Amino acid sequence: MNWLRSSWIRLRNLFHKEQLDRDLQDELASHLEIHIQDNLRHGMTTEEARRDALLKLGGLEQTKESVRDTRGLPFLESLLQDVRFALRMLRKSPAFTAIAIVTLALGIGANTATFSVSNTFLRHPVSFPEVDRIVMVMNQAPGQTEGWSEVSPGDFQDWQAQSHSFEAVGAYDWADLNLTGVGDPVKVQGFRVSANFFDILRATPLLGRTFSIGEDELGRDHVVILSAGLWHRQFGSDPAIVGRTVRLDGTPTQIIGVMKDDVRFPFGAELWIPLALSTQEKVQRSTHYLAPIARLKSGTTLAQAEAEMSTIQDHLRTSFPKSETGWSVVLMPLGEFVAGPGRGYMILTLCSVAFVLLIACTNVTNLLLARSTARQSEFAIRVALGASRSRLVRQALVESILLAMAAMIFGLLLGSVWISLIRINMPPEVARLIPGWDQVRLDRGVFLYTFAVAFAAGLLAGILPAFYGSGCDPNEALKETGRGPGAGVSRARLRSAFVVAEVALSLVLLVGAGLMVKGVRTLLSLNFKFAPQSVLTFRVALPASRFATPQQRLVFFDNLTGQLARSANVQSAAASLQVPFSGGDSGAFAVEGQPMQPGEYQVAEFNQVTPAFFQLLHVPLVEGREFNLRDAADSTPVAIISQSLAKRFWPGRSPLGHRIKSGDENSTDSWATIVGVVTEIHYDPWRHDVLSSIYFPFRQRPVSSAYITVRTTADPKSLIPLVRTAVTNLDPDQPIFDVLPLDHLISNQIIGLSYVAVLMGVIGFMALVLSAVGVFGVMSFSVAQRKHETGIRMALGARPQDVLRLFVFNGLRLLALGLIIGLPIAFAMARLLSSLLYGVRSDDLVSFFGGVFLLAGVMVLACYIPARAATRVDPMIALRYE
Amino acid sequence: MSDKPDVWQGTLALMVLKTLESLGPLHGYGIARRIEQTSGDLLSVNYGTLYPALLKLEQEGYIASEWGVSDNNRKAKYYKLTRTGRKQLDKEAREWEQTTAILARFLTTKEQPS
Repeated sequence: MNWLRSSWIRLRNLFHKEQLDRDLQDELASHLEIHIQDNLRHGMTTEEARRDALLKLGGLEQTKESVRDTRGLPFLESLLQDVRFALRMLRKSPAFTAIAIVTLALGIGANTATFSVSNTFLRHPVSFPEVDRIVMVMNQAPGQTEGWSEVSPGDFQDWQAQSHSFEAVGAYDWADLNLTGVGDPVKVQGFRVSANFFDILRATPLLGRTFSIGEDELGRDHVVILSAGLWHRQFGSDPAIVGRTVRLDGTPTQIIGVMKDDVRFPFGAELWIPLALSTQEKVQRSTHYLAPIARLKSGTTLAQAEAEMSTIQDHLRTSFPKSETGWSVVLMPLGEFVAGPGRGYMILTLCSVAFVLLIACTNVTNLLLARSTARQSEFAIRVALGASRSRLVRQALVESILLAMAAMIFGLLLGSVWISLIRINMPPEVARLIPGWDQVRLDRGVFLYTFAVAFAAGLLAGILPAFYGSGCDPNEALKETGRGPGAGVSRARLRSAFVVAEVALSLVLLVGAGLMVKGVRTLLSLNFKFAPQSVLTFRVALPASRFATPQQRLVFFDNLTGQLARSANVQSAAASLQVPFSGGDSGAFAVEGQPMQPGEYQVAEFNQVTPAFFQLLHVPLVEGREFNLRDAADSTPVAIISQSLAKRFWPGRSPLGHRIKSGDENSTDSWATIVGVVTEIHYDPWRHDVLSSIYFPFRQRPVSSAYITVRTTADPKSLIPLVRTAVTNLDPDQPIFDVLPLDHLISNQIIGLSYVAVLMGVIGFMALVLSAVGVFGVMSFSVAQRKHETGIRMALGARPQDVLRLFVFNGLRLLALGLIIGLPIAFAMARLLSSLLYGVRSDDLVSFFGGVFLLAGVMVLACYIPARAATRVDPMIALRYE
Repeated sequence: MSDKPDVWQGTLALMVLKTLESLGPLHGYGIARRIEQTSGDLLSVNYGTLYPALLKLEQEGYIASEWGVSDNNRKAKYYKLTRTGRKQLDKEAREWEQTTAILARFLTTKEQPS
């Protein structure tokens, strides 16, 4: 308490110094007077009395000084002095100050922007009370080492009943629904959720209530909760909405609540309906489609819950060896689950911008070091006057940190421009699907991060020059002219180390940028063979209530594609479950005669397509035949597989005539005879390997939700009215959605990757420019410092090319060392990237050599220009300097 | 240089508090003289060191100051003990007595060689 009180008084005292000084002056004067009077009374002479009083006091100024130190906060006061002095020094050399601030601001701004994006993805893509206690409890399929798979309803039921680590275990499942009975019919992204779902999230409704226990049973499940977005959009924010009835896929359903706007889980959710499992579903273990979610009991750790779940799964494996062998349980905090595959890229970009900042810091360190050489006599004088070393170090650090703080302000500006650029360029149909996108902004967290980064950068850039600058012996420094042959050998070595570090860091970033850009270009070119720019796609989801039988669905899609294909400007039209880069729908499959071993798990992308599909997308047939209209419900089930699958199961042989089916061998699906082989199509852009594909004829397995693709000779967008009319003619209640040219769909799918590629490109470029500037600076400085030496050399007969060679060779040596150090780091980065992105290989020599040559070229130039200047040294002038 | 021991830090504060308790409000010079006299002129206060000590005690709230007029009609700053200062004095005096008692016992105990 006392300590607090006195600190407060001391702090306050800083602000009325003058009055306090006057007070002290008066007090000491009165002290002396009284003392002198006293002495006079004891019989001293006036002179003696005065002398004795002053002596006893122990010096007037010393007393004042020690009172002042007690009065205020000497540390703070001298810090303020340092700040004032530093500001004066920085103002005196505006060029230096501007260059240092701009350099740091570039590095800091890049960090701010990247962090604000990554932070949203990595730390809070979702926000719920105590969100770190919410976990996803997922399966990992046999052989799967990363990521997760969905869970079978049977397992989910057992987990729910047997686990004790959680307050509650719930689950959700995707449900595309058609919403009618209010305005235009629309397709909505719904989720089937267990009744306890919102309790687990601790999400409360804006209006009405959440699901109550028992509503997730068949028959009682005709209730729905709307998202705030859907409520605004489709229901005009009607406050009396609760209790109204709408139709979902034709079924009358009562609205019981509206969720708050910030409840956006699972992502893209527009409404939630109860997850009502049928009796058969509840014991079903071979099909995995649920995503269980749970809240940890307080006091239970993730590790404890993992241990418990793994024990439960062990028991299940013993009880149901056929369906459970090889399957394991994986627990994931909700945030991590939501961030998904974007995580790796976010970490990659964060590391890369940190590297850029390091390069920027190195440049500023260099500048400061050069400056401290120039200011050596100033430091020497201060040491001679009694400044302690720590005081000098502090002074220098205050300068560099001030620079960094100024750079922070510009960095924040730069960062906010950067962020708004990203936001503007994000198509809304993509932004909707990115978790936390609407939360990307300069918030407190970003601000604090920027501050911390700037502070660290200032410290980092300043620490070495501070110690070098303060470590001088005043005698030597004042005598030395600063040009002597032995001046600053260790400094020269330090500068060389900076060149090496800059080269190494830049190489890593350049190679990273090269790989990333190349990877994304591969993805794009992969899809260009489909000529997607003249294809329009849209989606139709037929509600089970109006299209109950496969036959009804088939008739609808047959009529639709038929009608479209006959329209003007249309070459062909096809219906399919998937289109390239639509996300994929992978599942297990079985090959007749090649049974899967227990614990083995083979997956492929499944796609049901109409006969026109392959030709429409320019996918060449390798072997056999394509589907035709005779592949119908009453004919032999057939399938077409992709090349990689054929190679895996029938190496060197023809797969034609062999049989294959979806699910495991015992699944109720029928065996389909392979009639053709086609080349690969990439369905899931986030995978770094391409899954094999299996195609079935649409006519044999008509799906209810399909993509319609239309190839046209005109601009695909001009076809939009045509396709709308075509659908309305067939069924006026049927909505269509995601109406996009295929090339837009593809680039939307990889926009995150493109963003990373562009970012890495920008980062690589920044690294190159910054380090070129840095190396140029170091070389120019060393040329200037060695002017005298160069003069002697030339006077002794060295030709200009000898001098040139001397300096360039010196630079090249450092360049080579930097490359040697940088290459292994770049290789490690390439390994990381190749595990993330299709088309990136860690042994991609083109990117490596490209990076090395580009860097070497720029660096040689950065050495050559200053070295050229050295050759123009006139020995007479250089030597006269002495 | 005087061969009398300087008053060391810490005990000076205690002496100031005690002086103010027994004599009431006093100015700086008065406090210094009093400490010198009480010690039988064995201790010499470097008067200058008194002022930071007074300031510190004031910041801690143990004493308060006020400008007043001395016996000889001179303006002087008077210090007086506050209530918390009185408590602090009791506490510190007790601690000091304890310490000296322990030390005294320590120093008078004869070593018993075994």
